[in-house]
Amino acid sequence: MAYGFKAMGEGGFIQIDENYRNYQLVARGSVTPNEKPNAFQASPTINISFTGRKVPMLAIRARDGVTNVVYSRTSSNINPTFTIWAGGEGVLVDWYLFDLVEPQDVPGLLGYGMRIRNAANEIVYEHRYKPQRVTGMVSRAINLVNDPSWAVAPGRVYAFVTVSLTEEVRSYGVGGTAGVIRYFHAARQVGSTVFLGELPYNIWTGTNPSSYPFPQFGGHSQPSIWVIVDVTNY
Amino acid sequence: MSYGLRIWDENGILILDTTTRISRVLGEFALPSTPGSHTDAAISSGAFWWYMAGFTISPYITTKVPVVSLSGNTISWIWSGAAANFPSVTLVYGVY
Repeated sequence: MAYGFKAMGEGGFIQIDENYRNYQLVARGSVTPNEKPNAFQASPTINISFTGRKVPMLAIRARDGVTNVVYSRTSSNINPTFTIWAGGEGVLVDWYLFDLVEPQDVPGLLGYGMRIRNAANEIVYEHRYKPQRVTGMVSRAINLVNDPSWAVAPGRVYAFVTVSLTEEVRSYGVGGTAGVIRYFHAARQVGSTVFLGELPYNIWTGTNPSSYPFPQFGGHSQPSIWVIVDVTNY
Repeated sequence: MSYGLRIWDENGILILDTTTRISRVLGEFALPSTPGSHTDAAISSGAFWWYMAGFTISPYITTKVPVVSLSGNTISWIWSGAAANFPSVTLVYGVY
């Protein structure tokens, strides 16, 4: 590159390159999941929706740092709805929406700061929005729960992006009273460790007169996948 | 620091310095309904990440699910699941 802009960090890794757009924090907030729309739902949820986005990536974390959280999402890039699940009642969940910065995100000119565009005049980096600081991408196989799986820097705050969601299905009882508990793989940060844990989202109990084990759901073999994002001071 | 870039937010908090790894988007494309691969030499410029945009994330998925892997600079995908229909998925990928 004989012209243009590129910022490099220690070790030579590239931070900002005029040819590639950065994910940046375009919105953030806090919610308390408190909805259980049916009798089978085991953990509270809350929906948050956005409009006019590009390829939004949501990261979440429990404010208390120890409650498992996870989210599901409707199939829309532009107007997505995320359903945030918390593994406990009354838990405050912080959310962080990262996306590519679009012109509607930066109305007017401030007269200061730094904005970098690419050759297509798209915004690559905009000083008004904090950059997405990725710490790692972690993947775990189905049926592996409560896994202390990822060491992170002490004193920092991390949030979790659901890339692929998987579930654990456990059934119990032979005849008579029986049940099925379905779990999400979820995430939490305890000190300097990120755990991939479990979050019960559906419990069914009743009489199982004829068959055991219960039918297993899913049929997919995708692992649970997360992007871990440093949101310290965000 | 005698080199590099530092950025502070409006409260004077340092949000980027020379040790900060931030994500860059290298590309995005719609996944076809057949297994395939996509090679991008720029992947070697950092640590790889990927994300499925426009895809329902749910345990109640009634479509096939893409399974993505990386070998060198080549992203590959196959489809998993017994369902017959394929979802619309945009694969966004980059490095940090």
